[in-house]
Amino acid sequence: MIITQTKAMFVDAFRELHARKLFWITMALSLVVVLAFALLGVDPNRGVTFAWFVIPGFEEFAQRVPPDLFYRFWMITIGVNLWLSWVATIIALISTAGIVPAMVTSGAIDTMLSKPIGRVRLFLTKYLTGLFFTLAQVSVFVVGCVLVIGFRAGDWEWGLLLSIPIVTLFFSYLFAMSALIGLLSKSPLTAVLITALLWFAVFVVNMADGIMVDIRSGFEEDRDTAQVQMLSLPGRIERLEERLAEEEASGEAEDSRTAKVLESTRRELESFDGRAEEASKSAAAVNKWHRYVFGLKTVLPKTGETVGLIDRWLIDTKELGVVFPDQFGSGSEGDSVYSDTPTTLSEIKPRAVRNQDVIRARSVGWVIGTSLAFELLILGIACFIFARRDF
Amino acid sequence: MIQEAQGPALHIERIEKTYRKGRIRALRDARLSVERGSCFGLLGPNGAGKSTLVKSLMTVVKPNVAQGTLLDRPIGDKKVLARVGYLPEHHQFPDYLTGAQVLKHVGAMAGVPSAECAKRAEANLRLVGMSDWAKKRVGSYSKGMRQRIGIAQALMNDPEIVLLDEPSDGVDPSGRRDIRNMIRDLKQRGMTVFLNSHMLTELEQVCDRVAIMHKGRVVSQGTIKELTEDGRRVEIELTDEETAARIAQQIPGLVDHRLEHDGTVLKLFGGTPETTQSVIDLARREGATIRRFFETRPSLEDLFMEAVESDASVGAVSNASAKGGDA
Repeated sequence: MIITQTKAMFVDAFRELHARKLFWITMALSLVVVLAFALLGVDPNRGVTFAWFVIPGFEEFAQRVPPDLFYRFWMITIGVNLWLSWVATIIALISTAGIVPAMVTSGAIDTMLSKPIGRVRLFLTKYLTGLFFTLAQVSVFVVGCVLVIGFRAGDWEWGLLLSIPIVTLFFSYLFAMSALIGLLSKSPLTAVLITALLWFAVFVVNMADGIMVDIRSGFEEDRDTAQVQMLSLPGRIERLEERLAEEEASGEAEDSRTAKVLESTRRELESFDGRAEEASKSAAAVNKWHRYVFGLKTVLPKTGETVGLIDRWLIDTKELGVVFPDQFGSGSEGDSVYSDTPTTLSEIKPRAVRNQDVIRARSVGWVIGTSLAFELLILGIACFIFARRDF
Repeated sequence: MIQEAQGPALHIERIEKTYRKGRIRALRDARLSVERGSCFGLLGPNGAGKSTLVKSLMTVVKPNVAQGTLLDRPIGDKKVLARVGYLPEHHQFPDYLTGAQVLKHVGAMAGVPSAECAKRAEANLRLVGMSDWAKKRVGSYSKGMRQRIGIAQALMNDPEIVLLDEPSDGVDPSGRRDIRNMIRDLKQRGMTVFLNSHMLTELEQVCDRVAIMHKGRVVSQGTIKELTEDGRRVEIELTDEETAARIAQQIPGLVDHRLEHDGTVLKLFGGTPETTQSVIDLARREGATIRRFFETRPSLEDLFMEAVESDASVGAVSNASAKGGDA
């Protein structure tokens, strides 16, 4: 009976989606994006092309970035991070916002509740049918992109299929909120608006986290730079002091250039020391505030970081160095030369690498686990209300 | 799915439902019993608690107290609903589904396998006269057509008992007649029909037993004959008012029944054939000419109105009415 009922609800969800024009419009737009992606080409001799047009300014980029990385990078950056995570998600939220309110409408809910199916199972199955929308859209888009990369670059990136569960998971956080608000308000419009507001709040917290991590990385880079720069100074001062002592012994100390250089080097050391200390203090101060933001972020769904897992899994830091050499530096091109206790300037981690390190140090378990905990809490509240309410 | 009869199809010992922390008492002391294979009618004014009672049985509303059985299972048991059909009042089916799809979906939700669903959908569409509209979307249906589809979906699980909440709501007279015939047909097939309606003539024509509900209570129940027995009266119309008055004065000593005298008409309540004969003999002895003589019973409407109007006799009923339009 459970299978029959579940199948019936999914068939009904498909019919509902089929009846909603927005579903097919989104699907068509997804295919247009895939087609545009297929028309994008990279040729070391010609540069980046779109259909038969050469896009100017990308000649060096085309020589530096191999085709498979080129397609993977654009698929993740534009396809996943922009199209699926924003545009398609907003359309999906609008399209699915009516699912729960329609279910709990007086007259419709009576028929459903009078069937031999528990209320919690009924609600959760309906919730899953809402995710079906995103799953269908994302699957079509991602499979299309995998085929494009396979045929255009000769690289079959099956790992990209991970985008399907990851983007669906990301959408599930938002849809859980939409379902709860839809249940309480019985209004699709209210569900969309409040979910968008909550999503924006989560986005602001995530952005605050990103900005604070970036600022802290900047201070840490400054600190390391100052520390590396002053590493050689004590030795130099010592040598200058010895030379000055010799000059004084030989009576050549008056108007000595060595004394001036020594003085200037001491000031330089003090300056670097001061800069390093100031940068350390600033990093600590940012860190203190960042802890509060991070604490708040921990209990909220990690929308950006969940989708960011695709970047983490499919493009490593070395490859980021190939795509963005200015930000990630040469150290990321080959074996890492960066050190946590740098002694030369080339060993200092650039800011972008530090940011990536921080983000990538957050475990998948933390990103997905805490987000799922939030989702389960929201769904738990919704189920509790749905199970107890009179209709 | 009609099974061997055991206990009553529905037996409510006690059911109570309050809203707003007890301030509104929608159901109180509602007791009734519905025999298997019978057609039972529940009537009452808007806000009497009829729909709340049905919704409580179908687990749409959670009663505070529910003692009793539905098909020998405790009220509120989810599994038993696989054997119960239900037509909600003001039901809504998704506009994007066709009539046949609604039936198949509802059947599947009741746990009916898909092959069986297809067969039953076809049969039920035929039963409600909607075969020609099976592939048209519900959004294009008239109110009467939606009601027919509503009845058809209630039968998709081939239920042992079907609860129809205002089945004739918005249906034209010919449609109402069709629905009455459908109900009779279901009863003939051995199905128990629980009819919730304020269309009194409809209940009168198809129900074996009825209950009258008012302000959350079942104020009376029984067969229509039982309920109307108290109000049964013999009316004897004479030609002469004076003679009628004279006879009226003598009757209390002659028979032990209530008599009302209204002009030339003598109304004898609850009289037996013997006592009626005594009154006729008296009239003859007094030389009266009998213009008309007939036995009459109160209609269901009379009983209904009496129940509603005799609010004081219902007891300590609070002014609280049930939640919603027809709670």
